[in-house]
Amino acid sequence: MLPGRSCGKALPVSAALTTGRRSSRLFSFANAAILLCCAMLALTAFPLLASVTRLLDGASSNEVVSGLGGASFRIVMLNTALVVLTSAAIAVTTACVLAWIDERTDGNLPGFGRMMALAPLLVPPVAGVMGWAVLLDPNAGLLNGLLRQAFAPFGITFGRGPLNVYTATSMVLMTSLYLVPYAYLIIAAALRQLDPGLEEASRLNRAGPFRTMWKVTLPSIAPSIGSAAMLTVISGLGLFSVPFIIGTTARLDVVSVYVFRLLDQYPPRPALALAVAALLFLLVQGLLAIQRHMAARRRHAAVGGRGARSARVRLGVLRPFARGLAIFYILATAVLPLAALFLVSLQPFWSGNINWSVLSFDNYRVALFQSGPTSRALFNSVSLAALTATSAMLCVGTIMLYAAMFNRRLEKIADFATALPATIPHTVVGVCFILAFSGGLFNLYGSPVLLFLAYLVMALPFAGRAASSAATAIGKDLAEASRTFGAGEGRTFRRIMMPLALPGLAAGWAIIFIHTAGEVTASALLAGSRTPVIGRVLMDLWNYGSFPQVAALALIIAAMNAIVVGLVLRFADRGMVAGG
Amino acid sequence: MTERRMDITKRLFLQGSAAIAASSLFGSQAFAQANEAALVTAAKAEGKVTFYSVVPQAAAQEFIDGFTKKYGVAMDYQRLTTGPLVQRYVAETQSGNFTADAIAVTDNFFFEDATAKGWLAPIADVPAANGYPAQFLDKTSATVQLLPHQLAYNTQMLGAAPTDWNVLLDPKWKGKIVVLDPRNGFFTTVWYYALQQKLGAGFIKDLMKQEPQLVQSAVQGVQQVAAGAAAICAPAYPNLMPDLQAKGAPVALAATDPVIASGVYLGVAAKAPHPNAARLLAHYLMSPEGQAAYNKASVAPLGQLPGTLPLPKITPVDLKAAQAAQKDIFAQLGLN
Repeated sequence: MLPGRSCGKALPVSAALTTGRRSSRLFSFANAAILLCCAMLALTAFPLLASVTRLLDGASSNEVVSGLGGASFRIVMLNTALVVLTSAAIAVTTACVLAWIDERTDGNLPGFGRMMALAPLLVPPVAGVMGWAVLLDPNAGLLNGLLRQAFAPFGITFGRGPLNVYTATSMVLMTSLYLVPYAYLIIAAALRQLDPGLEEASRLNRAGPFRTMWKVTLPSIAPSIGSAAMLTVISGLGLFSVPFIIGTTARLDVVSVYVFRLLDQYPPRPALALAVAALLFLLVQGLLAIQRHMAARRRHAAVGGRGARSARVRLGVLRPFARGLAIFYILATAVLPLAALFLVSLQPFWSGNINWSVLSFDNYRVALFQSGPTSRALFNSVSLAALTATSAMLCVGTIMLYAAMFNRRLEKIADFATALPATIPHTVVGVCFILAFSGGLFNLYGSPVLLFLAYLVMALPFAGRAASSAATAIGKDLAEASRTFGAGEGRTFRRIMMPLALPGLAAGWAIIFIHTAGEVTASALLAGSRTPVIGRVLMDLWNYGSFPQVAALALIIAAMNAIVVGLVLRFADRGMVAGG
Repeated sequence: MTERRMDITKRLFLQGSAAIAASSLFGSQAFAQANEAALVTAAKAEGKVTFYSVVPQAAAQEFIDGFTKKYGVAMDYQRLTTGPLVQRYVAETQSGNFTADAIAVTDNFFFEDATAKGWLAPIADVPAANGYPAQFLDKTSATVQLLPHQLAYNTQMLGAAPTDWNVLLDPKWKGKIVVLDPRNGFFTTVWYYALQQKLGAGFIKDLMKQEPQLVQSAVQGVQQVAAGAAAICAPAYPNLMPDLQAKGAPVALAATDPVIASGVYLGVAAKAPHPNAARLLAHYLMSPEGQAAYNKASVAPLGQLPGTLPLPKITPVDLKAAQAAQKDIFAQLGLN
């Protein structure tokens, strides 16, 4: 075996990789990566600690003890576990099936399959839930009206319903609907990079397509499924709009709403909110450790040296069924609620009885030109979201890729640093950033820089999970091969690993972009009047305007998200082809 | 809750609109005018004022424009719901980043606490306080808007306006009633408490048999009534009606006895970055002109003014007893 060029000593490459001994150049890279990790940690921890020192006194510690020990907190945690875990399981399963159909079989829907799986994420959650209420309200829901009409000829009549959006079941289903895209992006990216050799071998051994999926494909991407499961749990814990609107009527309080109430009422109880966040953080760290442990124990396939453009699994007679399933999913989760939202956006006021003669685009005019600085807010949000997504993915992506290849300890540090903000409610982030970064040394109050830093902190968990998944999906053989042929680490990193990881990193970018562009809670506290952002305009319309105006603005935001995310995902695909 | 505000709020409800009409708007006018002129000069030198307010921008635009035009002082109008607005104000104040000159929110607990901590300037420093109805003045705050809690109904479904809160217990409307989640603000609890007092201790229990839908805000509730998703939303407020009614929505407000009312309270920051502009803003808001502009389609504490609604007869409620009953009311509604 040839020594790597950058290694001065005649050390076998594989040994260098596994023992973690590095050349001086690498060493400096590792140091830079560790420094970056520390910076991320500091950016998250400093505002928290600065706030804790202000908040900590006898009264607040009593409040924390009685709050965490109280019966209502126990109920909330039990509800949260039930809702989040069930939803995450449903979401990951759905995402696996959909991603497999679209990436690995001939049942795919070329062009729009992937984009449409993301549809629920593109629409701001407040409006998405509204779309479902418009369809499934037990009294005025459009779909319920149709169902009642359809059943009437058979003598089956309903006073209201038959479906009801305001139930616990519907809350779980809707939560999973919002979690599918997170799981889908990561799993689809992993499937795209998967070496098709094993699947082909399985097929040659006469295994059917489903057996191949179950026995070969899914186990091969197990670490990515683990990452996806983690990300859905993390996102599920933070999801607010669905439990806030549906859960109020369903009498099902989850932790995100609980924390919101702690801070929304006077006097606010930030100490208890922080304690809850800390508790959730420990929980997430525990889950992360389990995930790492399982990923390490399991032998999983990774990107091999062969071309990634694989032959798709032929489904044969099942092909129309697979296609039908994908189309049904798209219709039910994207087309129907988007159509409902569009219809409402044309109404002067939301009504179950559609009066076709009064429909107009007036609400779009109001949303764009009469609801404050909407166009400036759109521009600010898109710029800040692109900047946040790019910075987060660049930093975290580089660290994670490097760590996964060369430095296991760094991987743990990066995991920890990026997961830290995952459980901190956005309101808490907002309050802590004001307390920590106003006056004195860092007088950033009211400036877009403060908003950017807060967005960056909130983006870290998404960046961490997406990058970690992208990194584990790339095996070490390619890096080894590259170095065997004399490429230095830098070159191997740039020419081999980055291009291969690009789809996974782009998936993370897309999630962060959408999240940041629509962020509401921290923005309400941090966005000064000179930096209006779109999430706040949307919340204004929700709190003070009307459903049709919310629908109009939400569709504008969804279109903007779809364009940006579509372009980036397409660019990443091309990038992978060019680079790989 | 402090004794003092409790008394004042209680007095507020005990005294009807007659008291407002009788209160003098002309007392020591010459003094106020001299004061105002000096204040305008000082405020102009400061150039701008930042106002944190819960009233929607669209509704307040006339107020913002009126102030800017009259005094030549620019207004940065920051509007959020009470929760985040107060969070922002408190975090800014605690970190020594004094941004807001004046704040107007619905949370009476916030005002008590802010007063105790010395965050608010005496309201007597505002020229217009001289002549403002005494029952709407506290040491550091003034009630600048009143929100009577009434009942919104779908005119196509109900036909005639209900005259009684008992309509909420009519089996005909089972599954078609929207009520507010009392966790959204203290005065929703007060409303439940007042109805319990009026209709009997079993009121909430009977209401629950109607399978009401709980919503977070009346803004959403009245839109559900307009859509036909619900027949009744309670409580609901007059300022939510004009926009929907102008668009032809089949929704109207019924004044049913008892009527309780919450308020929007105004305070001037003790460490306002523009102290004179802050007082000038409060002065304008408490003047007849500012009151009319700020309270379009709402109820002005100063009495009925052009564009504002008449003040309904308000029933007194023992707020302390309501607060004591809060836990029980939550439990009866199935909330923890």
